[in-house]
Amino acid sequence: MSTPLLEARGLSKHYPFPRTAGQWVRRAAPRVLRAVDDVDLTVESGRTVGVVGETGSGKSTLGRLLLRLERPTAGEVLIDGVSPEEAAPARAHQLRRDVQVVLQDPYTSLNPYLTIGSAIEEVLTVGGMTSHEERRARVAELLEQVGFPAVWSERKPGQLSGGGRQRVSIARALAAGPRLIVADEPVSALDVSVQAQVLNLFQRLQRELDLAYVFITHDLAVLERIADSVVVLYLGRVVETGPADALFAGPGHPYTQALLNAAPALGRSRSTSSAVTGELPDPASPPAGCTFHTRCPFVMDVCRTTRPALTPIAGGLHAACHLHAGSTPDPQAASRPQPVTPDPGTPATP
Amino acid sequence: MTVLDPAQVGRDAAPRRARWLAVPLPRAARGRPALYAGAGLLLVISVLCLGAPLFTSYSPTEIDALAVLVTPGSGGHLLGTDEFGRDLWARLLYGGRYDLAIAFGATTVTLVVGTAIGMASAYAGGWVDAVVMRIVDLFFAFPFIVLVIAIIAALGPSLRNMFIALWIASWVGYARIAHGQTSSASRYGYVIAAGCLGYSRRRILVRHVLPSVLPFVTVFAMVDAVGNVLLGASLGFLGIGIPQPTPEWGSMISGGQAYVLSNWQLSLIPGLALVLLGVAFSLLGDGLADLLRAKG
Ligand SMILES: Nc1ncnc2c1ncn2[C@@H]1O[C@H](COP(=O)(O)OP(=O)(O)O)[C@@H](O)[C@H]1O
Ligand code: SF4
Ligand SMILES: [Mg+2]
Repeated sequence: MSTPLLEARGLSKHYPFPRTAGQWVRRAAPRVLRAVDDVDLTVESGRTVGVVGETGSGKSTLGRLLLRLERPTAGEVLIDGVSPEEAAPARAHQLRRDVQVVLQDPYTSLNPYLTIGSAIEEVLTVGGMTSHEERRARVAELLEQVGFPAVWSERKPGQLSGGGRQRVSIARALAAGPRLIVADEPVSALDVSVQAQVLNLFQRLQRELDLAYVFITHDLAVLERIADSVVVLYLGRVVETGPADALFAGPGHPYTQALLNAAPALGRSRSTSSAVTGELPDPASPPAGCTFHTRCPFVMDVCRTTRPALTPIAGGLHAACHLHAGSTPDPQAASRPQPVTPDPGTPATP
Repeated sequence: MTVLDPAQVGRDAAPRRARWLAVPLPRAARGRPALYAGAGLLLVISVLCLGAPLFTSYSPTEIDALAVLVTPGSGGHLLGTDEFGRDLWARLLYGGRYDLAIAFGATTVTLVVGTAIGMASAYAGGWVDAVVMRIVDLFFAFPFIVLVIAIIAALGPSLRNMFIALWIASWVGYARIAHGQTSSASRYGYVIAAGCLGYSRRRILVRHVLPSVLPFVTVFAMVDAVGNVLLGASLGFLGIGIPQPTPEWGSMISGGQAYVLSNWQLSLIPGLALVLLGVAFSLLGDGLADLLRAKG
């Protein structure tokens, strides 16, 4: 296999302080919140990796790490096999522009003081396009690509709907000529009908421009439609990963099964916070052993003490669950699958 | 290429947001009496003071021993004269120049410097930010007026030193506001996206963060201007402001004290002028705050 477009290896982000002052006071010892813990992820060009999990599972943190908006506690993110930090400045600038972002909140995603046209044009200016005519023509082209008439370039974001703003965010990202877009819940704030339109747009752009996506969502149904492979996060760790069709046909991890049962059709369920029975444990002090054992209907004794490693199961999937792996996982047996490379994980000491 | 029906896409368009920066002020001010009244009043005061020679033929400092404590309206003196025979109307007009200078000079410098420091610090983050904000906290721990008086006492009373004292003591208010606004703005999607798009720090701060900081610091500046004028006048009243015989409203109020029973207008009139200037800035601040609310 050739070098993947983007590869994250052993990626972790540990925030040194618990979220609330109360927790900070009660536990005197310094603690870390493992927002993202030892995650591997591979994106091939032109493909979509879906990242799913409940609110608080570390999806946005993972996205920020992939975008280099935060420094990882451990691990690395490579683009074309290189780390932009180690590349020459000009190459680093290009590698960074290769990966762009579309965020959830349509109301803060665009600068309210700039017209749509000037927001997009700015990207081209910074990218070194010196001719004003050339830039205007490209802006018109980009607007049309996301379904807007060129004359709309004079509009301010305040004159657009939520869906319209997300389209402009996409156009702005496209202006940098990216090969990968990290989209963090890009349709979650939109009405169901608008969601479908924007998802269509993502799919069409992928075909036309050979774009790759890391598509972050709490709604598994959205991924069924657009993802080639899926990474399921629970409390910062990958609990299941693999090809999307296999995962939707027969999910191996009880958590994935619960998410899937809660979201039977596209757009039906907008919230998975109540989809799985029981509360999400405090991310600052996750349960021992399998972190899902407090909510799992199949919980066994071993689950409370030993953390299951990601191991291959049927259909090219990998799951971190004792139901599949038994208690003697062999990390070396896990052949490195594509496009998502799981991490063998480390069993916790009882 | 599918081009959406514009009417459909824009259907649930949110109410106008933040358009006021783009429209000329008079249009934005339509239906905003506070903004108009404040700006108008400030304009009138400024024209009278800056154009003082056009509105009086007297000198503000010329002593006339033959026309001491003339009552208003008599002897060719519109507002009468003070205990040295100086024309009160002339002193009022010329003296206002100093109060206006304090309002604008002290306020604009702290507005620019404080905002720049607050924004840069918040955007830099990390230990730089921690140090800068602790310094700001330190300034806030001192009572403002004590700090100003201490600086003037150290440097000696003069207009220049009064400016220096006000600059040193009051940039922190702007820094704190700008810091808070910048911190929230750096969580906005368009600021995050700007980072991913490879924009320089300066471009992000000036073009993407500043517009959302500006309304807040501007409104604060109006309040601060009133405070600075009153402080300048208080220092004049205490005798450590602009030295005599320069007319300044605060020192005029103080000078008239001895005659408060017989010639009360000597203190009352500069006092009223001060109040009017304060009202002008307050109205302006209210008007701007109003524009801000319309934006959100
Ligand atoms: N900057 C931060 N500092 C401390 N904790 C954070 C920070 N960002 C996120 N977290 C914590 O990390 C966990 C994962 O958050 P996030 O990545 O936003 O999850 P998701 O996007 O899946 O909802 C949460 O418990 C959150 O409180
Ligand atoms: S390891 Fe045990 S608790 Fe965890 S998901 Fe599997 S069965 Fe459930
Ligand atoms: Mg999130």
